[in-house]
Amino acid sequence: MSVLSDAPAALATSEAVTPRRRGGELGFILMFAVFTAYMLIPIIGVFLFSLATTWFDTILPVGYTLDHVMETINDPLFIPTTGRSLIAAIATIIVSVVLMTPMMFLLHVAAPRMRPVVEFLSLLPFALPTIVLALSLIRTYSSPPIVLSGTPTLLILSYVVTGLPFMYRALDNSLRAMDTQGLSEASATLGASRWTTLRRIILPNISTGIAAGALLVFSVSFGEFTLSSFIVGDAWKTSGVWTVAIWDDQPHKTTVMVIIGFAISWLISLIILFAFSKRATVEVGQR
Amino acid sequence: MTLSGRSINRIGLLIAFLPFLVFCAMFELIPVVALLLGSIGGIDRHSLEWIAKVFTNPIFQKSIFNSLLLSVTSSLLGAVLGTAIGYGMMRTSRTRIRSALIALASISSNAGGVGLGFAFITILGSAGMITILLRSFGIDLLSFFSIYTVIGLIVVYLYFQIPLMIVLMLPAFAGLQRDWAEASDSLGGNSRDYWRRIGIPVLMPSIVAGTVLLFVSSMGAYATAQALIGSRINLMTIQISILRRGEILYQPAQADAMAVVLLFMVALSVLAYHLIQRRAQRWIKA
Repeated sequence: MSVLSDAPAALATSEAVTPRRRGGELGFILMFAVFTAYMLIPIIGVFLFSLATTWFDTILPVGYTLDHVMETINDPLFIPTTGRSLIAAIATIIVSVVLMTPMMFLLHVAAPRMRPVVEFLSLLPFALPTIVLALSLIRTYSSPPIVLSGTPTLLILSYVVTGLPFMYRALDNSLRAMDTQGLSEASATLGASRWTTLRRIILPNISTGIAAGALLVFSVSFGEFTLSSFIVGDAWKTSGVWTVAIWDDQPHKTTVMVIIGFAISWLISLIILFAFSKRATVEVGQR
Repeated sequence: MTLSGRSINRIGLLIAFLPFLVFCAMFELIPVVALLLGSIGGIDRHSLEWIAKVFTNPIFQKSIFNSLLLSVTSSLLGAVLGTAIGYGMMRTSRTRIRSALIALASISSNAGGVGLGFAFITILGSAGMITILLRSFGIDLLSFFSIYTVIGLIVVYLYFQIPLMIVLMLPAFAGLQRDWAEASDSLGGNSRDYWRRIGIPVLMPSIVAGTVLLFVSSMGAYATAQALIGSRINLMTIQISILRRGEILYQPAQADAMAVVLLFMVALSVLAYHLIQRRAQRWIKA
């Protein structure tokens, strides 16, 4: 389930609406403070836990150490699981970009009538809870003619499905933002083939859109838990599955992994918020 | 809308769209059909017993009840709080605070997954930071609150519900045009008239659409709940996982049936969201 919104763009430029009353500012500040605390305290909690020596009956940890961080990184399963998650996320990006970019270009210049179909299929994963997608895919690919259950291939393809809405919106937004039709016609007038137009004119212009889409796809696939635990499980253990598996015996390592996950997710959100187009995208993957 | 001087090469177009269409057929449409078939036990020995059992078995009934309780409560609370904070963000004259809050809300609305569950255990679990802090004031949090209950999950889910609602509402607030307030003023309307006749009617579709979306995001949530509670709370998503993977309770057809019911609830909500959102867009685009 995912959502896209243009909130920050709408707000960045607008001034406060309906400045009808001056009072209430203090109330707002109080509300903001409580909200900020609510958003930050869980992160602080898990961060302190990952650095704590002992911490069970004091408000703050007794002491701080980097041992858990080192133990986690040196764990024989850290590199393999994180590596698999990286491979899966990068493969998902490649498949998504190759699958969607040429098609979205043609959708804009040559086949606008296809839009309803493409839009429906691209946004369909919004309505598909992750666990339902997982069960559907296992059900379909556990028996002949095509057996993919338990393979990284199916995991990557399932990530492509969850990433479709993000790739679609990112590409659609950047193709809309440039004069795709006009530039394509100019290019054709100069004798370029459609493929040359895509490669030399369109791609350089929508590269930020592709990058934004790719980052979002990365963010929903890296460290993902639900699909990987159902589709590959322990057979191809990803960092998300490993993070959960070690909680009972090595909770400190889990919290180190959680902090790494939060850091990556925050970083990607910030890059998209500040570095890319005015459009920010909200995603609700991974739950 | 064709490229000038060129007729559409239909075969070329087909080749360009084919991979995407085949992909969607193979990994969206066929799997959903397979799930539907799985929930009735296959075409050959089809039966509605598993679907019926979702609604008649007390354990499954309870899971639907708990999921609805969790999702309705967390989406309503998230909607009210998110709308209030979003409104505050629009009204405040401190632009720096506003920008910081926008960033915080956008980032946090992306939160979720297993990490969030573990993060809340470190603050509200039995040895959590806040639990111990309250104990030092003589308050025994665990005597009336546990993170491992539906109420606990509501607190956790609000972590993404509130920022999500804020982010969904900001464009709607931005769409409230100052002209309307001025027009209301010059026609002699007071603040109450403005909100009753203009503000709330304009915002309402966005608020309702946002609430529906929060409901959807909570109904389908699995990873957060799994990390936090394992199988201690009977939710639809947790029940699906138990039925699909449990060694004792392995009942794949029953898992598929439960997943189909969940899918219908979520898909209908998404449909409702799109219909309401279309109304809301009327004002936002203005």
